Amino acid sequence: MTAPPITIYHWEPNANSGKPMLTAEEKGVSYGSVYLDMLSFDHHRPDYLAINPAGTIPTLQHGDRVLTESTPMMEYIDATFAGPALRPADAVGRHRMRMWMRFIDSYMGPSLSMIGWNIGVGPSVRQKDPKVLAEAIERIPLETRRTAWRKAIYNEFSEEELAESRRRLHYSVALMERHLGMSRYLAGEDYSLADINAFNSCYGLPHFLPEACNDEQTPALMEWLRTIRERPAVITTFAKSRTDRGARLKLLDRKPAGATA
Amino acid sequence: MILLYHAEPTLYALKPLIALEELGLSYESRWIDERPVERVVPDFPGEATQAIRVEGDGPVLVDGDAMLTSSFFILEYLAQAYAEPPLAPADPYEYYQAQAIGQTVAGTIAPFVSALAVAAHPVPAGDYGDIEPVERRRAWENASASGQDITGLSNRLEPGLRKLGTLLGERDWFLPAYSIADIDVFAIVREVPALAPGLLDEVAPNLPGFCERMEARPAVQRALAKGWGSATRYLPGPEISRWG
Repeated sequence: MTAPPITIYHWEPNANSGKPMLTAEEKGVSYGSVYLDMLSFDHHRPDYLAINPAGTIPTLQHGDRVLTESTPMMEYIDATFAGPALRPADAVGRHRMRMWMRFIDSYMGPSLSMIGWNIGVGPSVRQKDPKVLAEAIERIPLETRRTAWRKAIYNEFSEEELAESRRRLHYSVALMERHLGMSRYLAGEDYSLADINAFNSCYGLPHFLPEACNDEQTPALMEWLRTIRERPAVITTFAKSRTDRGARLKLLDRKPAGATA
Repeated sequence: MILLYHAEPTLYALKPLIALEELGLSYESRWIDERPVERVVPDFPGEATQAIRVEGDGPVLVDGDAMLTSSFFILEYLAQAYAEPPLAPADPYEYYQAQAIGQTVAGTIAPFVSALAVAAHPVPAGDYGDIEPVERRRAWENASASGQDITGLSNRLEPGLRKLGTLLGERDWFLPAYSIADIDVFAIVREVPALAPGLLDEVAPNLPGFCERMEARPAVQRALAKGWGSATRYLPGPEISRWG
């Protein structure tokens, strides 16, 4: 058996880590999978910093090339390998794809992760030894990431910040619902990297934001989530989950015909 | 027919101007010094990305039936739609590097340069209460206010500028050939010496020479001449990350 052409260092198939994993899977590109336990700070250990000195996740290795920006990395995989095209061929469609990815990466995603850290990840990490946690934060190479981890670990989010994140998520959900009511996928009629990017952040919406993301209020968004959830590449990729995150996909299972809630 | 709605040729507005000039395209330049998006969006009611304003009040390009925003993505659009002379690399890894530079500029440099720019040149005081969504309204209100933390903003520029200096190294351009990555960096970084005196020489001493090479290009000179003398030289840009 030949070695896979690429190696992906990743955490859960979630947010940033899921982007290259799911893109490679959709392309039919086999990859060496290295799972880093982000909650044990695996990504700030010296052996990983030797590969990616910034200590961010994910990293894609292809021969002697090391790629660390998760969204451009998806385009690299699509452009480099054979397999189904995951980007619109025309320049307008591709622009629309990139706009949605930027929206997820810099507007919706940070709000979602603030809520996620506040109610999920933060409390579980805080059970660790405070001294171990303090040392782990000191090892983080980028100052901006140190600040973010400190906020997340010690729950330094103000009520105002959390409320602002919830407001942005409600706005984002409404925008996606409006768009997906007119367009089958985010960049147009075909599945693209924008959907992969967005699904990795949005699959947990019915869990995090049940009051705003549900069959009554956002039927188009729910249908989009379910359609993507059923893709073989998504099932294979989410099977690599080692936490309860993968199980959140079950909230997207279709009810059998005739069943009542 | 290409229409470009843009403010003074500073920051984000400068990028598509340079690309259009480099490509030798004929376009109509429509000057706007306030809220360009509202002026153009009503013509494109079905386009949901009109609501995605992560760059603040950047330029708007209208090409036939399409409306395009977000300055680096406009550069990518123009390089794909009008491929000669090539402004984007054909090789996927070089293209990745161009996009990674675009992300570095957009995420770690532009928000601070924008904030410094409107602190030095505030937009006119006025009632911006009708601007939606609320974070954009706050951006306009902040851009007309005084008392910004100039030193703090300058300090936060350092890591991104250092990274760009390292990426450029001894080369003339960021990639093996002149590209959209150079345009993207130049439009933002050329403002730094006036806004944070001495900083560039200290943390990325190769970037001033890079800016001189850019300014020597005829297309860049034509783009920079597209000013109209508005007192409002800078508009609110992308917001600084809420994660700190």
